Amino acid sequence: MVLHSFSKKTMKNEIIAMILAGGQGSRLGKLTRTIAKPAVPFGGKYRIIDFSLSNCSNSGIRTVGVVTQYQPLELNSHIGNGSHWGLDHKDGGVTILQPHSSLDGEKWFEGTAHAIYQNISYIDSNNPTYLLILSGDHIYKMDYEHMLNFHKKKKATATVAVIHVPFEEASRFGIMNTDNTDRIIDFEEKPAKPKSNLASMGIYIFTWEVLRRYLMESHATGQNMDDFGKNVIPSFLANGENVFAYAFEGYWKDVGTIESLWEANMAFIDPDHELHIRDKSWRIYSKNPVAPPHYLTGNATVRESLVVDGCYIAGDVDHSIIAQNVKIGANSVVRDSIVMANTVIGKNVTIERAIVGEHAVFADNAQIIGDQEIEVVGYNEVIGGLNDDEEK
Amino acid sequence: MMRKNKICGILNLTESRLATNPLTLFRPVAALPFGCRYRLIDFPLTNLTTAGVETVGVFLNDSLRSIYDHVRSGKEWGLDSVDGGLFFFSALSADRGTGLRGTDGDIYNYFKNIEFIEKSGADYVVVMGTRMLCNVDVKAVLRSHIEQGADITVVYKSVDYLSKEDEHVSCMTIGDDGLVKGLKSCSLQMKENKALVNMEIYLMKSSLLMRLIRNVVAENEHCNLNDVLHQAMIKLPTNGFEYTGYLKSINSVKSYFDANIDMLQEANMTALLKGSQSIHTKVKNEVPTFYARTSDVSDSLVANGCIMNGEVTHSVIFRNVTIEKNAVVNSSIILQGSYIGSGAELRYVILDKQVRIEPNTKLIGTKDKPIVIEKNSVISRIFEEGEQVLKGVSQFHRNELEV
Repeated sequence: MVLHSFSKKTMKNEIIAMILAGGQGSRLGKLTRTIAKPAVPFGGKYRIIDFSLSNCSNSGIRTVGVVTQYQPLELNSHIGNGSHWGLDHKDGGVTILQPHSSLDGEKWFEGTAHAIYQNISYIDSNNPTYLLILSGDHIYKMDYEHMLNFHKKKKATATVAVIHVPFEEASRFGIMNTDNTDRIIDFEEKPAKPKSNLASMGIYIFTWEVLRRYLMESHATGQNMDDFGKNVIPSFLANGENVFAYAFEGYWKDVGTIESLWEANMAFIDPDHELHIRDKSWRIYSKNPVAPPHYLTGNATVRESLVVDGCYIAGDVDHSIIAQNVKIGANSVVRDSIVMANTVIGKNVTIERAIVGEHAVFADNAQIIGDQEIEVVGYNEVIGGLNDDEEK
Repeated sequence: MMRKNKICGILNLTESRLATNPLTLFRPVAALPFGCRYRLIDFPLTNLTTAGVETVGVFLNDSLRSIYDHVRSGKEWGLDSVDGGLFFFSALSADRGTGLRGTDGDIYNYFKNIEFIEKSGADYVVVMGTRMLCNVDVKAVLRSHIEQGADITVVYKSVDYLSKEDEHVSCMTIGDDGLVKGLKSCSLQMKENKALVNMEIYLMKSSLLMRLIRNVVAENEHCNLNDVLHQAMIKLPTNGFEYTGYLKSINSVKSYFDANIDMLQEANMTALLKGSQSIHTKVKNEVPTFYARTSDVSDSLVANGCIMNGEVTHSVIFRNVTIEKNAVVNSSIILQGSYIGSGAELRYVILDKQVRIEPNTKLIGTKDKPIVIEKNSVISRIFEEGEQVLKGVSQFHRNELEV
């Protein structure tokens, strides 16, 4: 995909990706209190951002900037040098981009497009023809090369990936109205009466020199260009740019709430899940810490569940996801729940309809049972034990 | 703290493969898969690198392919650093022009390539193999070596019981001063209460090892490095370092089977795979293992990437294994990528990689003679009696060996 010319000065990347991973994901409550949403664990051995990173790697994109801001520690250490996704190329690779101060003032990112504006020098140093903007919050598999080919074929200056959502949900999204050639003629952010059900996925391809001009000029004229959905796309349309909608078909989830995170995980247990996680031609990579195999004792029962390396299970696990190095003591029951890595569950513990954060500890006989609402146990939280009855 | 490159390592992988056939027909002992996700070479490599070894020479008699494929740059063990790293030396290339073959002894391979020790600048060298499955703290061995001031330090374990397969293992006697007094084959010691098993792990000054190798070659003797070291242990003051962790000598199909089954006891697994240092291995991106509603798995070790629909007890299941509905797997070792069809029954079986067991096939081995099915085999015959299968399979291997 990379067009090489022989002079180093003019070496050009055809396309580079910027993953916006600064979002807080405040509706995930305890789960995003200390880590950014893209770093939230998913499916027993992944973090949400693994899907975007793996898609980049599998699509042949060699240069990826990851823009972080909110609680970046976990995320930065997860990404490292990108080697786990095969992105540690000697020309390119993954770069973590954090807000920094400079002579013209503090540079906190004010919005999606503002985060790009603040990193213009990084993008320029890679000299791309096209810029792919991704969100680190979504769970999906997508070949960005197809979208790039579409962008080129349509001679677009901006392409927005869209997905058909049910009409009754359409008012939660940014909705694109297109003509017969997929050209976007109208964009409405969360419309009360949606005219179409083509929702923006927050995935954009821009012809870089065009986007760069809009960002620079707006900064000079003091025009607000902080957000792609609210500012940039409407401004492109107002100026008669060729903006196209690229229709994506397949599984795509924005797990913005506790309920949707729980539901997405529960659905992921099914071996016939639409993500086809076992499909070797489009693997989802992650950081893989070394752990011994998992061990099921003579009394363990594990049904309709996913289990990962390093676990020790002596109890009952039913319709649940058990992540790395989790210990489950005898006579304990885990049902319809997600237990994140390194959690220790004592004996006679009951956990139902719950999401349990990493490194949580359950004393013997502790109980966490969700009803209509899913119970959430935070990272490092201790449940049960002496004199703790009032709390739980 | 330790100065960079104070010790270098030699992985002596010229171990005989005959005893573990058919598992080692197409791979060296060091490449034998173990404990769901490891290979035997992971153990000495982890032991060396945890002790700060940054230069490791890998010596083999035959093809390096399966070892190289697993180890690559040594990244997983931190061997892809600015200095040192992994060096591969195959006797296949060392013998060229000398008219020697691997069977004439591995010493020429060492002699021709020994300068890698000089280049590493290491004061000490540790020699390890993979047949002795263990998790040794090499730094502690070095401390003992320096404290005792002997020329060589050898690692041993005191064991109560030796099996029939252990007769080629060398055992030693140690005097009150902690120095090695003598060496004999274990069969001579079998009636004694305790045997001190020589684990074939040696630590000495680099200059001494180079001198030993050069002297032997100067005398034009064809032999193996282990023979040279056995002689040196007797002639030179040799300190014994007693290892107290898990040890299994992988010198037969049965001992390979037993070592895997041993991991089902948590104490053994913890001692060997975690112990004083966690064993590192090549990391693969595998999906979580799925347990279906119909599955019934207990007392088993399972790797990532499996699909469990059937019944599994007292078994070790490697990566990407699929076990279909109504299949029964008991006391068996199932290597990576194998498929067990519905209604199949396996007891005391080792399936090598990518074996396909067709539905309703029955394979019944015994504790002392587990059935081994070779890599990539498809087994579809229904064997009603265990004995029949055993004969059929071992006959097949005998033919293979004669080729």
